[in-house]
Amino acid sequence: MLRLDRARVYDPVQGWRGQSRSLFIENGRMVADPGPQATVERVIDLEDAVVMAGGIDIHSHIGSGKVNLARTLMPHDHARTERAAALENGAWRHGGSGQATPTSWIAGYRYAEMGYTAAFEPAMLPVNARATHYTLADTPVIDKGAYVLLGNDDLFLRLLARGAEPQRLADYVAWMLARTRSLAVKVVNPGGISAFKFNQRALDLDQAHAYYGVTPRQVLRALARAVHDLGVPHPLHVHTSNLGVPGNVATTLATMEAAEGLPLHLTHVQFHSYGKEGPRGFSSAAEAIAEAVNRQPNLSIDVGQVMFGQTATASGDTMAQYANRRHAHPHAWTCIDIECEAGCGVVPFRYRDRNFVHALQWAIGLELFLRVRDPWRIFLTTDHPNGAPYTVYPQLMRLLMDRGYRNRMLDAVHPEVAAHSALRGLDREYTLEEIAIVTRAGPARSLGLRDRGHLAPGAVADLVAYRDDPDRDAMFARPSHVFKDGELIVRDGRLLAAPQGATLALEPEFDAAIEAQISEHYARHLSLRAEHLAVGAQELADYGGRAPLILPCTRHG
Amino acid sequence: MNQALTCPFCGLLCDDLGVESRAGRAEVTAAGCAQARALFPVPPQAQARIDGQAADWRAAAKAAAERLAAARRPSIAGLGCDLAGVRAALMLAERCDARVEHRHGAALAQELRATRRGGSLRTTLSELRNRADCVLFAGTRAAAHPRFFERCIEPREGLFGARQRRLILIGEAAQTAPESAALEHALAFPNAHLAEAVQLLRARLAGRRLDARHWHGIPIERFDALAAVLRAAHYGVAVWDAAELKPPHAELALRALYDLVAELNRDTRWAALPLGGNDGAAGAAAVCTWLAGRPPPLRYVHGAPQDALNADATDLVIWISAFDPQAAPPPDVPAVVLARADWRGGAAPAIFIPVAVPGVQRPGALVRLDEVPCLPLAAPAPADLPGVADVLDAVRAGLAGRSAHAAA
Ligand code: SF4
Ligand SMILES: [Zn+2]
Repeated sequence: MLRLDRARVYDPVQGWRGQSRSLFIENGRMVADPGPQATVERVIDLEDAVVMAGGIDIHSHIGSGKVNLARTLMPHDHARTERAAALENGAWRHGGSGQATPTSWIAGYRYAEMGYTAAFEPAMLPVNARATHYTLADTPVIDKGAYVLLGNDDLFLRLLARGAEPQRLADYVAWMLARTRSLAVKVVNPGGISAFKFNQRALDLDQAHAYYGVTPRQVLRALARAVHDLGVPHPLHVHTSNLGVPGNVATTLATMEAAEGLPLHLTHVQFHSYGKEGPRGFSSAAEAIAEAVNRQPNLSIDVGQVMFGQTATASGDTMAQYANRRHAHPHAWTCIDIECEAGCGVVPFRYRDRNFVHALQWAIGLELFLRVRDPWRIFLTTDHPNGAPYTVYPQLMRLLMDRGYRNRMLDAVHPEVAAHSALRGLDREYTLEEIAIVTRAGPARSLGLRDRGHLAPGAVADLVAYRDDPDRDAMFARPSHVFKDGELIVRDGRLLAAPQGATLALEPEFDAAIEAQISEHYARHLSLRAEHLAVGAQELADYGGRAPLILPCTRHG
Repeated sequence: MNQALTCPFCGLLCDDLGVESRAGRAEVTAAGCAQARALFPVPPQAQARIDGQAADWRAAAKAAAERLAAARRPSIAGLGCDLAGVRAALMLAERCDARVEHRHGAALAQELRATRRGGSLRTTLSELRNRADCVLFAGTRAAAHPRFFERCIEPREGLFGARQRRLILIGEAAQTAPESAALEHALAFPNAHLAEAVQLLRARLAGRRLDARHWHGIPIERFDALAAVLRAAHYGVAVWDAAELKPPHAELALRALYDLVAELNRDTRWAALPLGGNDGAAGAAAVCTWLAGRPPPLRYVHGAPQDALNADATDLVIWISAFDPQAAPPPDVPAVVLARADWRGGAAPAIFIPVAVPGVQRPGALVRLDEVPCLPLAAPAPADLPGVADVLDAVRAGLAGRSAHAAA
């Protein structure tokens, strides 16, 4: 047994708000105080460090094929390399490259060094599922999982257009979830990726798909219902129509209503909170969006905060990314129509603080963070790498916690932004407890990770200690201790060990008839067989990962 | 019989093959092409050798590690293997600062340079098969992918009804597979002129006036007629194979083709489908990119990956060819060959270690030539041979403590 003394624990699940206490760990799990008789093999004095469960990133593109495309389009990013080295325990720390699009080995190390112990790839195409899981297996230390991308595939759209029963659609969703080893379902620009293949260049919520006649609203509702009926813990994860388009606030608000009370998670909402007021035809609509979130308890969001610097935007939304191609920096972009299933678009991008639009995007993200009242329904993300790489999280936490710092930064960006955003008037400062909610407890609850995101007895012993420091950026960037499954893996921001993390997945049941129908569709029309989408448990282990850990498919209160 | 297995012997990864094992050898019994029928049957065993002397594969791996530790500029090349093999190659290269290259690295590099210089709109096999009403073959008849026509072009009854396809060839006329007889040879010229021809086509599409009436003897009206056909497509696909285009023109040609596709796409839908990916090249590019930030060729320096676009001298090559029995290592360099049991790609190498063929003798995975689908490989005729990754891992273990870099 391991005992951690003098831990000022912030665990919102247990209502712990920083009182100094001891924590007990055995066999990789948290255990209750065993009393004075118990044998404790090891004691670590945390010297009143702030302790939280390990961070959980609910939306980070670290595994899908589109990130690999982004890597190839960003040679400058990969000119910055890291050397391989032996770790203290004799294990090996692999080399790699990239800041905005880090290679997978170092992506895992960097998460761990920042105190994050889980991250989830939000856009896995079924045909790319195997490569995605292999990439995640090559992302060490952290636990991981992926959301399967549905809603633009021709089979689903046909079923919907022909008026298939909700049960049939749910079977289809269940089959895709189970076979591709996914943890949740994501829809990107519902129906719009497919519509682009039919030369539609925009598709509003109630606009009909040129071939199937169905609307994004119908796609969204059908998927939200299926996800709900199957008991998938995480609500349908939605990237709404009209990404990045000035005035898209109307679509976003209408999408929120379209769920008709069903749970919905809207992702990287910053990119969907734009008005078209003002002299430049681009304005913040964060207030309206935040109000709608505050009003509708069925909704959760993650922000997709923009931070300044070079990054790459990578999205399944070919329709939007094709429109964005002219903003590419450096000037190279790729869009792909994929296998009658989906698409992807990669546009390298540089956010500049002296650019009005970029600086306002930055302010809009922060406004959302500060205006949404319930921290359990808003999660901290940059939509890595779309808004910025996840390595900016410590700085983002400081922006949320330190109003003076935030306003100084506001003073430094494009001068008109302060006038066009209410940011300066928002004096909320996140507490440590709120940070613990938006970066671990909230995401864990939303994803159905019952034994993560908190430190109650039975929880996985993923936890992190930060030396208290009024400079929250410095504090969160360099934890004094990080434990993964009870093992000390980081000391003073330095990696000590690099164990393999778990892959978390669901295995919902489905009617066998759907399997036959899917098989027939693939064999007859597509250039690969449906059974080859299935990722085996053993093959992940053979490749160097771990067999998936199956979570129950039931929502909890 | 095994139904619907994936064939690893070209970048198409046809996954509809029937394969049976007879006396330990796989035989294709349904679907497949002549190439698949020739390459699936592989002997279940072969002798590992060190300097011509029979040895156990582990001893051979140990000997390979000793030579690798003594080498100053080692390279791991060929790289014809599955994803796990590529991963193991990178882990080994990282320990001994080796260069890592793929047999088709030149084509990969051309494609990479072209895509880094502008936009690229691409598509995949199923989209082509179901949507394309116009396919522009640019300097290729897809000869390196034997079932391309059968699987992607000939099925006319698609998801969206029956499809008439215009199949248009520009560039070299060399005749190969009979299926490609259906191509209309719109513009005939040597492939070295492809970039120029495509630029001319773009100029006419953009409505630019030209003084010349002919180009290499072809009347300009022929370009205009072709431009009109391309513009009339609902979903057009441009197909090429970088391996059939030679430097220095290749990169310019690819860039011009991507630009052509992007320009056509302003009004209607167009996309490109670059062919390639043979000998596991697409998988090698994918794994190298996610683990080392770039496709091969690359090299490790002090355990950090770097680009290695210029070929440089090497004093030991670890040559991997699990799919092609004839792939030959570079001449005049001592070679450690990890290859299929019936490998005959040249003179006896310093060390030979037979490996299981992924997809025949051992399970694995590969990426298809259109880069997104990643398919499983089965083992219809399992053999008592190590996989590429097993051997490379054993070499790496033998290296531990030997290389200065690992000890640092
Ligand atoms: S075309 Fe290629 S993948 Fe298909 S059967 Fe022939 S060799 Fe195999
Ligand atoms: Zn995203």
